[in-house]
Amino acid sequence: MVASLIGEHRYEKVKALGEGTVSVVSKARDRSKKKGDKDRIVAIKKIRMGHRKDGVNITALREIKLLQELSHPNVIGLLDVYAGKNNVNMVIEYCVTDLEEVIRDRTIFLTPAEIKCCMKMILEGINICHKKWVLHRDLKPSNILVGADGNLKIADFGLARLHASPKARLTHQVITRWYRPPELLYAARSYGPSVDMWSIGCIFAELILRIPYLPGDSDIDQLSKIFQARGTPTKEDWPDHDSLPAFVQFKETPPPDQRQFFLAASPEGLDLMNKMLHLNPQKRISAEEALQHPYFVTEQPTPCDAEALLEKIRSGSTVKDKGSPDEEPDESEADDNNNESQNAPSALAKAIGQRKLSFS
Amino acid sequence: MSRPHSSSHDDSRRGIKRPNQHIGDSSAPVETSEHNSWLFTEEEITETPSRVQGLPEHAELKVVAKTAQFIQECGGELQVPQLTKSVAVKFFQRFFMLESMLNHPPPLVAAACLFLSCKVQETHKRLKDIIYWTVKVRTRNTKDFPDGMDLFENSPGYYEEKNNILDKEREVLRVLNFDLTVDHPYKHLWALTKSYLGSDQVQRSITQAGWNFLNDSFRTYLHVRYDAKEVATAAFFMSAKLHNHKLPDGTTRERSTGKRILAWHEFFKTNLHRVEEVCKILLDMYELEDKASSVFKKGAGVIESVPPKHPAKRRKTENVKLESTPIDNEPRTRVEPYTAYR
Ligand SMILES: Nc1ncnc2c1ncn2[C@@H]1O[C@H](COP(=O)(O)OP(=O)(O)OP(=O)(O)O)[C@@H](O)[C@H]1O
Ligand SMILES: [Mg+2]
Repeated sequence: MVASLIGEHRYEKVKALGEGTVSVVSKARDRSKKKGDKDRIVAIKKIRMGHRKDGVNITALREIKLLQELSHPNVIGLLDVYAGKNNVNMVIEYCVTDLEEVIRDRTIFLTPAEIKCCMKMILEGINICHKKWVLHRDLKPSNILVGADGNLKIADFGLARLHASPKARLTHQVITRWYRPPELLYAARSYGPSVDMWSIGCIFAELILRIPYLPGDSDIDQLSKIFQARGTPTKEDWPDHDSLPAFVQFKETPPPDQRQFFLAASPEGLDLMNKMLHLNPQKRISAEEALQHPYFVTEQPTPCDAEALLEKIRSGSTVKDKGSPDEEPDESEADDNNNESQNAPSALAKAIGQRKLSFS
Repeated sequence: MSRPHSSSHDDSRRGIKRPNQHIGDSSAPVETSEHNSWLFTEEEITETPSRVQGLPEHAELKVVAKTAQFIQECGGELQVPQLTKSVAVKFFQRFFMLESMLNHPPPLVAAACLFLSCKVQETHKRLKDIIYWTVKVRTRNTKDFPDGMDLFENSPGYYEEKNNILDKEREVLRVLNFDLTVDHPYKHLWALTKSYLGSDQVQRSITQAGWNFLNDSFRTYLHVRYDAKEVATAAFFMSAKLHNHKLPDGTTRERSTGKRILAWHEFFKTNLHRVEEVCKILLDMYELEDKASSVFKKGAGVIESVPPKHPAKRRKTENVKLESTPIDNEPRTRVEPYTAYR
């Protein structure tokens, strides 16, 4: 009987976890467990439908479709989807916190092995995305979640999309500014996986520095921060950069010696970061190559394992939620119950039951 | 990715034969690119909710054929890629595997499926344009809307149509269980022709013929019964046959390396028996449509004659000729006016 619970009747919201621009994420308990099973805790991302004008929210559909096609320990898992009256609800793997919280938590000191573990998991996650032709286009610490198993999980595919053709014209208005690569700031309309690699380079720097690496307060300031930190692009290094739509000439600056800024970085770590933060997107390292970099393959220390990382993160002060599911249900969340009467199921529909989502 | 429902859901499905799992005559595992839960057996397809509610078989199949044509036409007017149209047809067919045509007007579901597939395939169209073209195509040549009547935002009936489509879109998502992943046969056909044929005129015309077969295949329930790779393999085989092009049957070897060349049906590890079934269904469809169109030509019976408006335009892509498959015959998709379709 319990197993046939579906939609909003199946999940009991426990508390709010986070809020995005068009979504609210809450923690919930899955009621459809069998007797004796442990409580299954999930996260529910409720996306508002938006205007009646355009029907079901495209961002939600995009995120749902892409997550159905991606299945990897380092990509957030989509468990179920159901519609409410005026929203779409994505049931996703519950995560204990996100990387932004971890970075901001001064009581957590990340060792080189732990940083390497983080980087490895982020790269493995994005590697599978890129292999399946998915660009994330909004990588930043708050969109990288820490799973209950310690695995980092790439989440929030609301801006992601498939990039089948290199000629396709894409919008340059993507990626939160601090993590946006120079070609997008110059309004390039054709780009590829290298935009995500830049963001990961910024996250790498942030993990070491523990403050945002390039916090520009306008697009132009962003470019100036990038060139201050990495030098201005040269004709030899990046031949066509001055023909991009929004090209602006900056006072030429040679690339500074990075070691002075990243005293805590190992030589190979710094080399990898430089390759991720190459100004010319064509020369930027790919996720696959990055995973083969000596930083991961030969240099000591080797990355710690996910459980050890989780333990470290849990030791911090900002992770208040230590994973106990026994919290009071939040009444305010028990809205939007819609008792849409469903059409009388035919014999076949009944026989087939609720079809599963087809995950490959 | 873990399953969305607990395993106890499987109990309700016990006893239903899943396709591909019980075909014993091939030791090679059958490779399917889509989740089996959207593939149905022959028996299941004869017991669709519509049929259970009493809709006769021929009426249901006619709706399926017309919808494919309808979506093809609307998609053409909206200038969306073939893939977007095919995904819409697949959504439509999946929907009616679980819901009855007597409860949901098929043209409305088709419009909602097209609206949805435009979003899912990143070929967005404004709802306004979807409404304009679906209504226009649907009501061409009918009495209730004179052909050419334009449905604009201030027209009477516009808001009703809009609300109907928006409600149906959600309903489609609910019935599809938000499963938006669709495999399509076109890319598999492409892979086949690229691997088996040189890049010459023959390859081009075989690919073109196969492409047409695939377009036509959406007029049947093939795509809820067979995997996209099986359909592509069948279309490939039929178009090679049409061009008298012999395909490797598994006995030939590469001259330089001595490596065995995979037989055409082994490329995707398809089951030959199932591929044959696909061919047969396609040929049956052509034959049936031939019959229907000759009935139409004689003007016999109750079938109202509706001359096609732009026959040349509509059949732009259907330029293959096959003796037994009269693809170019006169209006077969118009054996009934759209009023009946509504
Ligand atoms: N599975 C989860 N488990 C725990 N917390 C989560 C989960 N998913 C999201 N969150 C929290 O909710 C926040 C918002 O989620 P998400 O980024 O997916 O939403 P969004 O609306 O797309 O946000 P934005 O548009 O602002 O980036 C995250 O930063 C995270 O703190
Ligand atoms: Mg976010």
